[in-house]
Amino acid sequence: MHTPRSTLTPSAVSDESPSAEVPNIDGKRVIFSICSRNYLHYARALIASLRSHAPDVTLLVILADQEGDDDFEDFVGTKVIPVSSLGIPTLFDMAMRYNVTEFNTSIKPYAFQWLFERGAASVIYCDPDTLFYREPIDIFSALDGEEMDAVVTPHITAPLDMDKRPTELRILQTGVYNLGFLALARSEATVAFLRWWASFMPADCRADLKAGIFVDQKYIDLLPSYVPQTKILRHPGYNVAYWNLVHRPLTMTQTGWLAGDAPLVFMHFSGVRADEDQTVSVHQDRLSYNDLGEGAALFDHYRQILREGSSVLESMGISLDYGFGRFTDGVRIEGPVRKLYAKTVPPRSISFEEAFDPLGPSYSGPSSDIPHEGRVLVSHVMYDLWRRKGHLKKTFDLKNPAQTEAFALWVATAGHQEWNIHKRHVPDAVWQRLAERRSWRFKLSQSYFVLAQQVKKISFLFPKPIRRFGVRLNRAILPRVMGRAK
Amino acid sequence: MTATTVHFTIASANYLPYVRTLHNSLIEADPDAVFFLFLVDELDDQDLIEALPFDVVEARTVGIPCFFDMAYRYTIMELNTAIKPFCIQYLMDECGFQRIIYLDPDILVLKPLTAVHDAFDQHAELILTPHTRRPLDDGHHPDDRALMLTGAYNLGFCAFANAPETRQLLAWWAEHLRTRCLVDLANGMFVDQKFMDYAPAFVGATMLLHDPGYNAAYWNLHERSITKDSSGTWLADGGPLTFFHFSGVDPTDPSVFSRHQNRFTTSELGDLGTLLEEYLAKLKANTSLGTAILSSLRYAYGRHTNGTPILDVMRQVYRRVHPVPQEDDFNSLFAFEPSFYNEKAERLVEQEGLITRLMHEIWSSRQDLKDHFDLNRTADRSAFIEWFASQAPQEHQLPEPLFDFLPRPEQESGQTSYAAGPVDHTRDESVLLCGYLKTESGVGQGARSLRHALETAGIATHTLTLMPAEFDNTVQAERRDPTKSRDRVAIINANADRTLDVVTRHRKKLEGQYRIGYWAWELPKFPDAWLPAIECVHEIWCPSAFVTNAVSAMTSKPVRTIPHAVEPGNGDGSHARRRLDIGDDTRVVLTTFDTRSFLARKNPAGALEAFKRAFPAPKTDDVVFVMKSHGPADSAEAKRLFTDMAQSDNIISLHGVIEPDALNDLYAAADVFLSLHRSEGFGLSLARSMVEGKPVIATGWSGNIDYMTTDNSRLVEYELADVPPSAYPFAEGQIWAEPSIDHAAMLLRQLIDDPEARKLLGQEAAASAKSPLCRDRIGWLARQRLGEIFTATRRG
Repeated sequence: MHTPRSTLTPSAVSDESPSAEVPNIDGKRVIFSICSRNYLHYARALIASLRSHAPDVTLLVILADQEGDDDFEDFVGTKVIPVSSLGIPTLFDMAMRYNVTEFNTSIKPYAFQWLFERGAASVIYCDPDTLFYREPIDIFSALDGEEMDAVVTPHITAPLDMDKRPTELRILQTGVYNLGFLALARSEATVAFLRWWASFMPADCRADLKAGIFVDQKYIDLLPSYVPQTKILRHPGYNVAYWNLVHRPLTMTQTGWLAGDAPLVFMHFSGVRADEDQTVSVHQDRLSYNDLGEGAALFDHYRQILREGSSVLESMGISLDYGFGRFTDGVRIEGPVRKLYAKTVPPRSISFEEAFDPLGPSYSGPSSDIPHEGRVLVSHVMYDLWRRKGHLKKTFDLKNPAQTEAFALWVATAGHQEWNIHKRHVPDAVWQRLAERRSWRFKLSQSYFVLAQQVKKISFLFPKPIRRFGVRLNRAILPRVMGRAK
Repeated sequence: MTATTVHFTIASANYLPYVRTLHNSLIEADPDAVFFLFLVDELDDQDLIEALPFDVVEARTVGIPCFFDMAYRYTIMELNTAIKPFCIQYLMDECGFQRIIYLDPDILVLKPLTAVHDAFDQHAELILTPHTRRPLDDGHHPDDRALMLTGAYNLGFCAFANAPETRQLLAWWAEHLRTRCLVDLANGMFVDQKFMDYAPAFVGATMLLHDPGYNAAYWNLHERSITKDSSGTWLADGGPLTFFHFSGVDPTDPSVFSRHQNRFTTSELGDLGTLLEEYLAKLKANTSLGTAILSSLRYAYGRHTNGTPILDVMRQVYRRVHPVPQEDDFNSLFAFEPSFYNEKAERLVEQEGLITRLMHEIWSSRQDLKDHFDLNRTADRSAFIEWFASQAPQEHQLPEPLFDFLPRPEQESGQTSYAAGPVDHTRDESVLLCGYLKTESGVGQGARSLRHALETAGIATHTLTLMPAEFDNTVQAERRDPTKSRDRVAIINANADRTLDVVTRHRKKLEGQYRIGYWAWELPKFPDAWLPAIECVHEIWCPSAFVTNAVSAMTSKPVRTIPHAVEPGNGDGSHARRRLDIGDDTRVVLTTFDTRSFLARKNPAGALEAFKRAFPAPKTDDVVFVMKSHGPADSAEAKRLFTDMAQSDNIISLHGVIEPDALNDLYAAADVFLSLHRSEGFGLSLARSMVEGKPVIATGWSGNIDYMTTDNSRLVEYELADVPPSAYPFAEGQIWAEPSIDHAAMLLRQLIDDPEARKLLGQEAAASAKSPLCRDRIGWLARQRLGEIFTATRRG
């Protein structure tokens, strides 16, 4: 429910807090990025490359995280603006509703609006995992010379295939244009567009391909419709990433790197991890590391920069832990719990404490989908687990009270560990029932589950048929035994 | 114009009236235009083709690889769109055209397509029209989300120049359309159109034509005005209207502007209404050619060789079994082979019970079946087979060989199983109350208050608790009466749409009883679809005269008005104020709604707007608006509303089910209750606020005026308006009230500014509403009527 408005963190609702100070950007061009703590070293690399290749542009980083007292600016190399300064009405609700990726993307339209309100003439967004090798003159000339209102880069400028991951159809579902980059000039059309785009962010910046939603990106398919002066930049040197590398092999020449036959301007190292050598991107299987040819050196170098960055982070004592990743009691928030929140709670302007309260009614309250007959044994979180897992659906029939109880006891014994369910999301009545059960058969099956959690860690030691039997025992047989034993 | 440019369309024979209309209009606008039709059909009467004044190419002769596979794989609409790239390639390669312009058959051309020709002259290679130039976010259908699923550009028009990049695009497009020209939004496909979102990325010289005169249609009328000037010229936003796309018109029903949208009715079209009339007249004139009625020509690819119709679900089975094109000829592809559909479904080969490919396909295409039968469970599989044998043949018009091997369901004695029958006079003079006694909704509240009223009046009552799936059902109710009751009267306190289900489900228990349906309904006309529900009860009770009028117009059975019993709560509001951090001097305006009821009816958005207008300066006005809601919040409409609510400092959104005591306290904390409903069956929350002694501002129409007058509340002015299609179930031909937001804002401002008036109005509300709605009186009303019924059904 609603929490007293007086407890709202001041920075959440006002943009008068001191951290909101920005360099004077009136009439200027701004390039900005958005990241949480875990991507700070990516942002540092990007800012360094922009310092060399876009020297006259104001650079900013927006921190989509809890602030703390860390010296981000020193680390990143430019002004860092906490997300709470942007005056986003449902900020903490969004921070709970979305996972870290969705949350980072949902900030984007608000950031453009905020920078335009402060007078910026043109604003360019780049993902933190992009890196510049040349000055992006085609963007600047589109905005200045051609007087374009917007510049976007398509993921691909020629067909891919339907066999490898991601297929061209999958890319189409996520959006034709990659939102790791977007340039907008301030104009009537772009301001109106931003208002429209931002209106979806409180509730619909999700990855839900079936509903035609993919974070902030899919909406941009309509940008060329709503902003007629949109430049679709097909230059092969811009936004080079795993999705278009097959068309744009990287080669080194005397004048620098080429992508295809054009000068390389910026790479987008999407899915590149500092500690995963020999990997082009964790999101694809089209290219092997060997296919990169000379280009592998770019990836190796990038990972090197990231590793250096993260050791500096460590030496400065900056925590990479995502500030919106835990409930107020410190328990990690699992993906399904966020989804449950997103499904049941409408967007609201609330405080951090309320949004991240582990006892919110959408988790431990009685599930809406089964009759409770006066006793509440199945919470929303438990029902959600049952709904998602075919083997649980098969084992426990929740229309049957005896099996409902068996399911609840199974969750309290083993299920909450197996699926990382917050203990407080299991109703008190269940813990009570559990304490009442004393028969040896029950105790035996209970200790089996406890044991099974341990054995799972070394399951690779057993031959396949035994592992299979173990899974069957775990999933189908013992939960039933448990339900019957008094 | 040179002969390097060609216009073409694609249609099956039944669309020939459209094609002829298109062709006539094109030639009238541009006499030199060259025009082709690709006919996705085969006509017995070749003379018909000869009689058409343009070139006709039969689709099967275009040289499409595996054409007959596509003809079986796709529905008529899918096939008509799927061959588009092949036709463009044909016109380039076989006919030597350099510039190809495609127009949907339901387009009316008014001017030569000058902007397209000019674009070609300026080296555009591909020209497309965006559906719209401004967002479609007014809550109507289609909306922006629909465009994101179906494609940004409308493929009812496209223009290709013969150039390397367009050739590459065509080849790629054609390859996809051999098997993926589907309406499958969840998997990112929408016929030929969605793929073309890639066009500006793949073809550098793509021009997106934003000219409002091109491809004007229902999806962009919100941003362009279509008018006719004094000289009779059609204009779009003041410039020439070049072509209009009459997508979704119904030649048999001139009152339909487009079947695919609910944004505009024909009466809102202005000048365009005349153009629609002219267009329909042209279609009519072009319907017959010689002795043939073109619109009723039978689709050549709609039947098997033995005449058995090809159902959509058969095409779906074929697609699933054959993901790649089959090279067979027409006769083997179109032969009817029941065994192909009756094969056990691939997904279920390991499970017991025969669920055929066709059965599984029907199951997976219907959400209701998927919700009801979990095919992983043995019991559900047999239940599904039973359902299929008894229902599917009729519902899906299946031919015999696809179900005759299933066990025949036992024939039930039809209608009599649920219709209200003779009353068993040996039963006791007591009542069985069937209702959602444990549910936290308005219906649940109504059932509980009726039960208390009956008990207060000393009527022996047993209960049968109904459990709707989608509610929490946490409200504590005593366990079911354990004695085997033999009640003579059953009151079914579930709305008409659920009553039939309740009676069928509890048939044995309700046999021989005098059944009373206690129903609410929120619009003036009771839906015809619920006549069977009237059949299965002996009598109907309604909570207000408004509902009684609607129901009694449909039946000669007794219909009585029995209002809901409403008692004041025991809260003083201090707890709620404390919890919400509202000071004692801050005035509280309250509204409540359930997102399951249609938001358009409860109209919380209207209340929000009225509040904002009444108190435009949130920082200085010491007033908060508490909007209490519950129910799912994931509809687009709800999200929009909650997002709006979150933008203001003095709006407090309370979402979720709260304890009855806390709710009582909340009602008590309010200074004013506001409801700008468009319609109410009774208005429990309004009545409740009144007996609580609260001043109420509400729309002066529908069920609430039974107990609200200009003396005991503030009634908001309204105008009656047509209920928009899909704004409410059975909306067609219904009206409701459109409250004046400004009037409501004024009333609200006055009441908040004048504590004395608030106090007096609150006293008057309590004085006038308390006794007519109190439990004793409602119990007495029920007792009176039940007494009459008991007497009438006594032995002898």
